[in-house]
Amino acid sequence: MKSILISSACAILMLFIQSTWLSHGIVLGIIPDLALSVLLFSSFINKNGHGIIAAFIAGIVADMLSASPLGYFAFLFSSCAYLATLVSYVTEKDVFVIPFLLGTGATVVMGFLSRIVVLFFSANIHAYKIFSAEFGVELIMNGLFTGLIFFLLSFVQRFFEHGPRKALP
Amino acid sequence: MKNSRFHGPTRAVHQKAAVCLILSLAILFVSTKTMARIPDIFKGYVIGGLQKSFAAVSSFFSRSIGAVSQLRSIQKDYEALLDKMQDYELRERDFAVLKEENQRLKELLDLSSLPDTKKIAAHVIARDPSNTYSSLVIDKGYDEGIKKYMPVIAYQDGIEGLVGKIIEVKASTSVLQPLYDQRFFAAARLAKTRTEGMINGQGFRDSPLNLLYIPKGEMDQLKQGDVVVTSGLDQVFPPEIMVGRVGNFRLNEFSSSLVIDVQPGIDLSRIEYVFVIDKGPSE
Repeated sequence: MKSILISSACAILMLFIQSTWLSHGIVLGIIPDLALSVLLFSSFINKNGHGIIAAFIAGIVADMLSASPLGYFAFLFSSCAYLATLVSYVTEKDVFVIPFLLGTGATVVMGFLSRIVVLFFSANIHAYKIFSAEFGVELIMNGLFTGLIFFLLSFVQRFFEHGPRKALP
Repeated sequence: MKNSRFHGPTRAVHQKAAVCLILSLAILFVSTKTMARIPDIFKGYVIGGLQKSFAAVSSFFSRSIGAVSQLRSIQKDYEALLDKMQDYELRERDFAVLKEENQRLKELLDLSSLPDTKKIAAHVIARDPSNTYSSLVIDKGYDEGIKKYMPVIAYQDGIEGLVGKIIEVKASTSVLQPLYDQRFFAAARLAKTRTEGMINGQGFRDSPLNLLYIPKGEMDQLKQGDVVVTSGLDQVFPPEIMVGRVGNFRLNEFSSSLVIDVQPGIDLSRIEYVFVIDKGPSE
């Protein structure tokens, strides 16, 4: 429960930062998805699926902050968190490569899922423009920032973990 | 850790993911039918209040840092200003004459295209946290008389230009859809030839807008830099508000209309203050 609350609170904090301090974007007006990076971190270290629940909660808040219909980001974030949880079973966390691949991979997944969602729920839903230069920038930026977030959060990993391992006597 | 590598994800993980995903889709299904499911009080006061707080913190720090750096440049500015002072004394004489002339010209040209409307000034406090949506958040809500679908304009470099329209109203904040949003549509026309079309955004702030449905026959008369204004036919935007200027345009063989890029008249990347137009009670 603690890991869900901390992960979702941290992701929500990132959402507010994205909408205010980073609102002008970094390159080509593109905002890095820091909330997604936090949720990927939480999902990767919590193999029990707590990261998915945190992603769902943060997604609902993202929908409230955004002009998107309620449930849109909840679905996209939950899907990416599920993917990160599955990836955590087949590989170990390293300094840069895995976080970078997770960040870019999750962005691609969000891009494709948004196109699928548009097919089924057409009312006022925007999809990622997958073949645009802006999407390429977002892809790289999310990869780099996910690496940075993984590095920074690794210092406070125990707060994000469900039932951290205790030292052996 | 090693056990998990051999056993793979447990059933509980799949169940949690399935519950979250199904719940998201269910909510999405409901919300796309009826957007107003969240209590207005929560959205209006809590979310709006938090956005305002973040904007205030950001503003405080940027002002503090700015003040320190300004002190350094004050000395230089002071010396430069002394030099300029002499120059301005000469210009002051001309100023009074020009002011009178400007007043007369304004009356003659009737520059304000919206003389009988109430304009509510608002500050842009936040933007959409995602890149797929491009909404802006302003610090005025239904407490200040903002209503859904009210047009929004701004003044920049002496130009009165279209910014977008209000799509969501909360107690103390509102969400506006800028004209570069991919779902933004407005009835527009070429100011010179009066040919009517429709303006549509491409989803990115730095991308030009599209002017749709201008017939191929207009190709000869069209020039780069031609002004595009709102036509008012959509009953949302008042007529004659500047949208932008024609950029590149080309002929599409398989279509009956031209493909026209329009550069917005207002630079939305540096917009801070906007005016929401209250046209009053509709007849």
